[in-house]
Amino acid sequence: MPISILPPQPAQYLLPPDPDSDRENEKVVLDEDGDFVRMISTPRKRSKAIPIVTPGEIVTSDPQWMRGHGTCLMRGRDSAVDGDDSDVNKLLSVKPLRARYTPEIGDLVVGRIAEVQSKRWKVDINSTLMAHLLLSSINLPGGILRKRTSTDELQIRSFFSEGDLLVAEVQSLFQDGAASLHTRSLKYGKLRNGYFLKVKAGGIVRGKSHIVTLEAANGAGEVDVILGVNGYVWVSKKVTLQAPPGGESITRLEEEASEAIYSNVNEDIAPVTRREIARVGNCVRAMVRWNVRVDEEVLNAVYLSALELEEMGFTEEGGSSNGPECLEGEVGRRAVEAGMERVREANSKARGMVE
Amino acid sequence: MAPLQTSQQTGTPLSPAELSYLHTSLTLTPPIRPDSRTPTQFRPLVAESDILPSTNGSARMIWGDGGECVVGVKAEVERNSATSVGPRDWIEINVEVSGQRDDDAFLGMTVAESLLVPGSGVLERLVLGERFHWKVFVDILLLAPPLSHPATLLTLTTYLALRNTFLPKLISEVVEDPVFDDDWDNALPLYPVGKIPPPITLLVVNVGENIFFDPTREELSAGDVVLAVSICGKKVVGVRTLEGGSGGVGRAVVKRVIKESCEVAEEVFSNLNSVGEGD
Repeated sequence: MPISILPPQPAQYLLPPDPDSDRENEKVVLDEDGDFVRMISTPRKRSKAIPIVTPGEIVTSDPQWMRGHGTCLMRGRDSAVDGDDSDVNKLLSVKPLRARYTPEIGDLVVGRIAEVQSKRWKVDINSTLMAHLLLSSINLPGGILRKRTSTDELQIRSFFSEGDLLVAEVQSLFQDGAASLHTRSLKYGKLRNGYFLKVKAGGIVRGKSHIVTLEAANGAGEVDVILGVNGYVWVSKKVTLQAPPGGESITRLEEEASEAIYSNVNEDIAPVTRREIARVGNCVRAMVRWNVRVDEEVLNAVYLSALELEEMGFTEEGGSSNGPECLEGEVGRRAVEAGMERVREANSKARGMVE
Repeated sequence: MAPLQTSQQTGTPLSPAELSYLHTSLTLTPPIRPDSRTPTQFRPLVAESDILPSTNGSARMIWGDGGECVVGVKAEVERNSATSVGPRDWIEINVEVSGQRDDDAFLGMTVAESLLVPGSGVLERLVLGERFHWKVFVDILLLAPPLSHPATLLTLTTYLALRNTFLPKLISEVVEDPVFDDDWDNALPLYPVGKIPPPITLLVVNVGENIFFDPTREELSAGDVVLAVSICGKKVVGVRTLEGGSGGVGRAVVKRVIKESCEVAEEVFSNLNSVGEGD
């Protein structure tokens, strides 16, 4: 079946958000658009009739409230972004239902070079403003402790040029909220040997580790997944830096690595690995689509479930010739549900061991 | 409306490593698409028809990558005028892309040209007696442009709307002013079953030896040649190359594209025709 056309689904169709998130005093409701809105379940004095506000709507005109994020003061108090409002004591803020990424110091992000300037790059990181990557905050080839020279400035495009993908960390924030990135670590730098995909910015939340290595099935080796907090995801074949024969020092290794670090040439990637890379990408997409947190544990579980679904020869009702690994639509939901079930089982088993 | 994705606005190219990865994956046999679809598989889409009560026919379609399109068809009685160009302007098509200037005539032309395929018999059904005719306005609103090329989304939604368009039945004589049956149950379809249906346009991208239907944005940029294939009924009525891509296209590839398009289109038509029947 090459095409599947579905009728529109009611809002309840999505999976509810992860129940064991840290916000236990809240309940989750659905609004008409199918977005999940968190509401504090403790009774509030203000009317609950407007959990969702639109820009320009007056939230309150009572002077006792303090103005928080997402609101602005006009004659009364108005909300500036679409979203649900929450109040902490006397602070009133509006959280947007859907927003671009807001950089914070220390975030791991995946970005794409949008513009090359004389001493810096402008990087698209799915934020409202372009991020900056200064020439002085990248690893220059030929030793990590080297001063930037005018030669480097002249050949700035040999490091990164327009369209190149990179993984970086947010080093600092400018006054206007734009991020300044750095790639001064062997973990960061240009991305090769893989596939880029984009999910919505809120789909990936900050966690312990954002670089996940999966043991791929079917002898495909290891697959690295870089989950950028900004919703940009990179799935690639795991590449281990080859230590030069003779067991030389770690600084030597770094020097060797930095020679090749700005290359644009992929390694040989076997078709099985490519297939698994595509499958992992589908898993990430399905998890964000069905509102499940993306981290190492859950990603592993969902990946295993996706493999199992394929083995079982799961096909959608009525059709049979779908791509076996395709996780769009209903198949994706099953895989994600099975994965979450697997996580829950593992958790309860671990709890049993402790007791 | 949400702002467009930055990389789409500025048209930032893909990185060389990414392009070569995609190109190699797509040239393998069997090819590996980045989202594991089979070469002829479409992304799932959501469609409904008859959503606007004040139109003669309407449809809405949501594409997998976020594109959304609404089409409304309205018909008006118009007096035949001697000065007009003739039946060719009896169908007026207006495409509006939200967030963009509306002087981009290209998309509208794509649909309009394919709708007015000679011999499809639509224009004959618009004639009302000797002095009057129906004028059909097709308004296409692209609420959120898809990340890939919108031609397929536009034509599929238009197809669905036109298939669900009904015109009131004429009860007056040929020489009189037109009088209509006021019972909507007796209205006649603009495209009756069994007659030549409205055409659709499918995008096909060719990479090496392989061809792919419904390409994503990345596949479009990694492809050698992008073809827009217009299909009407069981026949391919037009093939054109779109912008982008490098290199020409071989005779064998075109033959294959035409053959496979027909097979795929048959499935697409049967699926589209069943929209709205299930509920």
